[in-house]
Amino acid sequence: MSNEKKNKSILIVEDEQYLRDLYKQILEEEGYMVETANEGETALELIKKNTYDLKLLDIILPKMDGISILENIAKTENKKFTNVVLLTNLGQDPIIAKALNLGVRGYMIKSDYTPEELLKEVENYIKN
Amino acid sequence: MEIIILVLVVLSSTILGLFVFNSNPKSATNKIFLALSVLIAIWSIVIYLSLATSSRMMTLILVRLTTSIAVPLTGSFLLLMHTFPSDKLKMSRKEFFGLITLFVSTMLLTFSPFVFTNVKVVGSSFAPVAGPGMVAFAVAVNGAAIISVILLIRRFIKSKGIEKLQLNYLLIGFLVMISLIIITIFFPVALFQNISFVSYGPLYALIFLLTTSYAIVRHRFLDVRFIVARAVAYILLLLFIGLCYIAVLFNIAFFINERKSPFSTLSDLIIPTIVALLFALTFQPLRRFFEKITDKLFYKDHYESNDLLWDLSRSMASTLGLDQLCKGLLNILLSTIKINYGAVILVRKDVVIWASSTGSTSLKPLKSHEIANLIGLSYKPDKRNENILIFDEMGGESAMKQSMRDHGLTIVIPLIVRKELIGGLVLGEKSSGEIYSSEDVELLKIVAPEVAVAVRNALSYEEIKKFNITLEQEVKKATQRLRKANIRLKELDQLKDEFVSIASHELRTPMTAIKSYLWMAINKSPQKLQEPLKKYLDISYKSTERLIHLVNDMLTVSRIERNKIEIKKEPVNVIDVLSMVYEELKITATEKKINFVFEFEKGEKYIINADKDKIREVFQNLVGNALKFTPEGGKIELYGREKGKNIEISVSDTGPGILKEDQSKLFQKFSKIDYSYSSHPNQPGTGLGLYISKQIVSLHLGDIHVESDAGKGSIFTVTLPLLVADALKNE
Repeated sequence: MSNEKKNKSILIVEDEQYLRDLYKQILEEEGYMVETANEGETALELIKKNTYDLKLLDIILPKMDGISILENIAKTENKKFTNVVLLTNLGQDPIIAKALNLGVRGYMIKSDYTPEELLKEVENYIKN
Repeated sequence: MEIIILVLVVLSSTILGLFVFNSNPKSATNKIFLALSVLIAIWSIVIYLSLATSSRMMTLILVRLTTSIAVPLTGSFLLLMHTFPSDKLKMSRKEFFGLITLFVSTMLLTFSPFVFTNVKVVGSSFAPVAGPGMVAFAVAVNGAAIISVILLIRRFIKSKGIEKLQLNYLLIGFLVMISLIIITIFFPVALFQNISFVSYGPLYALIFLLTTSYAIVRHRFLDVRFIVARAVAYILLLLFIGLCYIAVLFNIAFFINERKSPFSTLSDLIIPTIVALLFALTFQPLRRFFEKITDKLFYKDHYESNDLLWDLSRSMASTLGLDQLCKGLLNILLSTIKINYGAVILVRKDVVIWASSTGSTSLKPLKSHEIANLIGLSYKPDKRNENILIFDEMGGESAMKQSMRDHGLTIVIPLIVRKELIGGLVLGEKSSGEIYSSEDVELLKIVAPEVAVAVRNALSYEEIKKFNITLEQEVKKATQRLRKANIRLKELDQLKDEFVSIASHELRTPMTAIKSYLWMAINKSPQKLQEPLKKYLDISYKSTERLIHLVNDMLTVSRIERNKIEIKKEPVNVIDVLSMVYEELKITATEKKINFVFEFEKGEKYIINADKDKIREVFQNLVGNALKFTPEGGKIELYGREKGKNIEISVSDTGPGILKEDQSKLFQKFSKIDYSYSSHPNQPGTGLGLYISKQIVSLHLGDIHVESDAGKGSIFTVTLPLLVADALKNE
């Protein structure tokens, strides 16, 4: 199981350092290859440059927000965001609906998940 | 005898003619009738004279004259039948003048030997000798008469209503006349050569004239009694003048002619008498005619009071606008009475509130309080007849008089409505420099109350109009304010939306960190945690969870209340939703040693049209509450039944129950229920869960209610409409 996970790469786009560190820590402890971005532009560059098995994307970010990142990619590369999951604390239905329309797989409200539950969700997304 | 008939006929027909004409001088019928009456009178005189004369030459002339007058007589009869009772000729001017020309030329023809060649002597009297044109002439005149009669009968048959009644009178008069002529003149003359009734002929014509004139004046709705009374007066006057004249003439001649009778024959008396009577008759119309001319020449300022009153009434009735009304009546007053200045001034409590003036005065303008004072002084409530100030009639010197002189005012009349002084009509001097005559003053007194009422009405109308405009403006302003407020509210709503979502985001972020790190501390600590540290961390963790829950609930409430909550309905098997909730919370129940019973069977189907996630939240909340309040060893049941077109799903617990008085508060926001009676006094909640649940159920057209006995537990029941009640069940 650990070997399987070693091949999987995950990008975490999160501006809150404590959470970014925690998520990186628990995911790496599980054996994933984790890269992080703390704001929108870096995230966009990384997404364009590399491929990830799962991208956990926050919405409210400095420089460029999550939705803009998605729209930018959609415009330039005509990609579907099948491996993007929103990991956010923003509870605005219209924005989430917009993201889902752009093709993201799902969304998680950060505060509703314990680290353990988060890992379970990530595992589910990567498996399927 | 003949002379009496003659006088009677001449006078009556002339008077009838004049009266009918006077009743409406513009009417063509009346004009024709006058012509006919006068012609009958003249004709009667001429016939009489032709019979009375002793000269052969005179007889010929008079016979020819008789014949000649018969032409316009017949003609006017024909015209009358053609026109009656219309006010206008029923022919063009050309046709009319053609007819007149025909009459005149025929009249001239009768003076030629063509009709009567000569007069021959038959016994003691003369008889005219008919000429070659006599037959043609007789045919023409009689033809015209016959046509007239045919016209009359035809018109009578075709006519309706009042016209028929009028023609009826005409016809009766005509028939009586004709039958009398035939019976008393035609038959005696034709059969017995008896001419004793011939002189009655004009009398018969008078009958026709009487009925015709009655028909005409009745049509004009004139009182016949008035006509009769006037006619009698006229006849008496004429008789009086005539008799006086004859008496005077007779006496003068008697003395001049050495006491011999001056009248050798009766006709010597008759002719001057008739002339005198004609003078008497024409006296009145002539006097009026010359009066008019002299008035125009010497008495320019004269005006007809009736006409002025009529003009004023008409002007006042024609408008409701205050300005127009006052300008109109001032113009009429000033131009008719010839005054150089006039004003209508309205006061309220000694203050001028409105004024309109016409004409000009070179004198200094009146100050508001002065004029208000003058108007106030002009009003004497006790003396109705003296409600007028006339400069020339004010005795002595007073401030008031001085003020009127300074401003060139001659008359101030108060305008009074129901004993309340509303203003005054103020007039300057007459442009001729003359003083106001008593006629002027009387007229102004008559006009004043009418003006007052009209002005009062106009003022009320003006006030209503102003009020309406103000009202409209106020409504507009209010609408604008509301519109602005609405825009502001929308902005605020938008801001609130943003605020709520940003606030919740900002709150959740640190809470996520706290929650996650506490979880890590509790679950991933390298060393086993010692009590009481573990307890402290547990409490912190639970409190954080509660805080997050509260934020989530508040977010939901805010969405519900702003109608921003999205409900995506789809057919859902409610059993699937319930089993998910059961599976999810079974663990907690087991941990708390609570017997959690799921009473549905797998494969059961109850389809509802619902948002799966939202409905799940409702049952999560209900079961969560039950878990919270049910003590260890208690029992929670999740069960349901179909009821009509609905499904009822209940969550029962063996918790402390809810007091009756609290049950209604349960579904309100932040309801704080007192659980001190129970053994679980400290059960923290957000106070929003049941409120949210009720709102969500309502959005699904369902209902939620509670049954509970304190100490025995509670049953929360949710009723939801089934999408298809039977067809999908147990498929």
